Amino acid sequence: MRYIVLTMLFLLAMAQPVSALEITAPEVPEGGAELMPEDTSSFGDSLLELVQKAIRAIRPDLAEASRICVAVIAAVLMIALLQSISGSVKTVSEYAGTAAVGAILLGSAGSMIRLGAETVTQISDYGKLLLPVMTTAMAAQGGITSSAALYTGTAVFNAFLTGLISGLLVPMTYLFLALAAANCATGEELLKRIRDMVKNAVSWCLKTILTVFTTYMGITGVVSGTTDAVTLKATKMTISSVVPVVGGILSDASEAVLVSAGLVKNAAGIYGILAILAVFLGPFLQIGVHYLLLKATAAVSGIFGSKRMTELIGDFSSAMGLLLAMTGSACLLLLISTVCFMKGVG
Amino acid sequence: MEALRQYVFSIVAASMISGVVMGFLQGGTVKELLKLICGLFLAFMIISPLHQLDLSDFAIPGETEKQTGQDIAAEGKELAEEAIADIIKAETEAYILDKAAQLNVELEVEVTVSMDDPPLPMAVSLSGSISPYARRRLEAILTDEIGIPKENQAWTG
Repeated sequence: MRYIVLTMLFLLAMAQPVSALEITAPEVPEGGAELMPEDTSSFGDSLLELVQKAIRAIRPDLAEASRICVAVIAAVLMIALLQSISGSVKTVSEYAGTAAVGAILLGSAGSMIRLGAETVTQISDYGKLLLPVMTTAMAAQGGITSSAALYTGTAVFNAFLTGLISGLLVPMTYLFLALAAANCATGEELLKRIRDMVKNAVSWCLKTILTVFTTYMGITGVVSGTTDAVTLKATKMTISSVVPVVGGILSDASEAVLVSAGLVKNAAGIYGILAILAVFLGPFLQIGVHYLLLKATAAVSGIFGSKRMTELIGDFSSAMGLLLAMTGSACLLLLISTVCFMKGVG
Repeated sequence: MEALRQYVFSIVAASMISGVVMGFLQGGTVKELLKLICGLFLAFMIISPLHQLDLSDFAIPGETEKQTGQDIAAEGKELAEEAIADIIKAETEAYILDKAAQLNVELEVEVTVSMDDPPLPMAVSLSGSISPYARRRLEAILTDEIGIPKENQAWTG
């Protein structure tokens, strides 16, 4: 029995080189290791497991965010009471309200902004490891021009977006919050306009980058895919023109390597997509919970609170929305790219 | 991050100062004038640090990534060619051994594959005892069916 098992193990070990290519996706980063499914052979099951784990992990954050929102509602209620008792101290109460709401929300908003920025960096860093793997696998499958073009496009956009988010968009989110707080305290129209401009600028930047990237990937896929298809056809013609026996062997070998590269690329792509989602999903849900609860808090505060204070809570919620857009864009960029690589040679 | 904190605090402080100043005045021309001054002051506070923004951190990359992409793609192609060459070597050796077995000959075969595109068998070394008839037959198979010229067929033993 032992010999049979040993023989089988030996045969399995010998069978390994027949798969021809040994290309594997990089290990999931530490941030997503907890959510990453054990078995990634089935994409649907793995995705379901990932989402279930992420939802289970969000419960403590949900409780924390709820506590913050209750504190905010209590502060708004107290300020509203103060304003109704004595109308002459309206300005002071607006300042006090802004200070109270700002102090309660700024801590959690700061930690969410840091979380968002870290997530973008982690996704980008993982992308830098995954991209060469997908490029190698696609080139081995015959997509030499396509893989180089897709790599270039993704690497450029990835670096640009990450730099833009950490260097400009994250500071702009802080600026947005500062302007929102200042506007709430003073009611200055200029601040309101600049605040809206900052918010629109951040959204516009992200939308434009994603649109340009998607267009680039679409056009590159078609153009370079055609070039690769022609090259593959030419290679097949060359193979059929060589000596019959060798031609047959060569044809079988090429087919085996192409199929093997396709399988390897698919496996690496699925693992890569799941790893990206594992890194992304936890923080995205965390920020998303804050976003939704702040929206609800703003709605509740609107019933009894002053207009400015309700607006300030809404602005904190909008800042969370901007963070969701930033992390979502970084994730979407890599997902689109990985799917383009997986689509293969045109 | 400290600079950013300073910036945010300065805007909040400036707007609060403006709000307090505006709150003390009742109305009229002086208030209108002060409103304009406060507006300009706030606008200056917001815009002034923008000229210090370092745009070099997110400069658009390009050439390096293009070259790296081409290098990685070339590596992938090379990897595939090596894998094809390995399979061709193994399959060709198996084919020769099969033909030798049909002639009742036991041989050891080592095929060398060229690293052209596509990779092809270019030389072979065969060792073992073989009759002149079987050797002539095998030489013909190697030349006609596999395409290895006679001068690249090395016989030992």
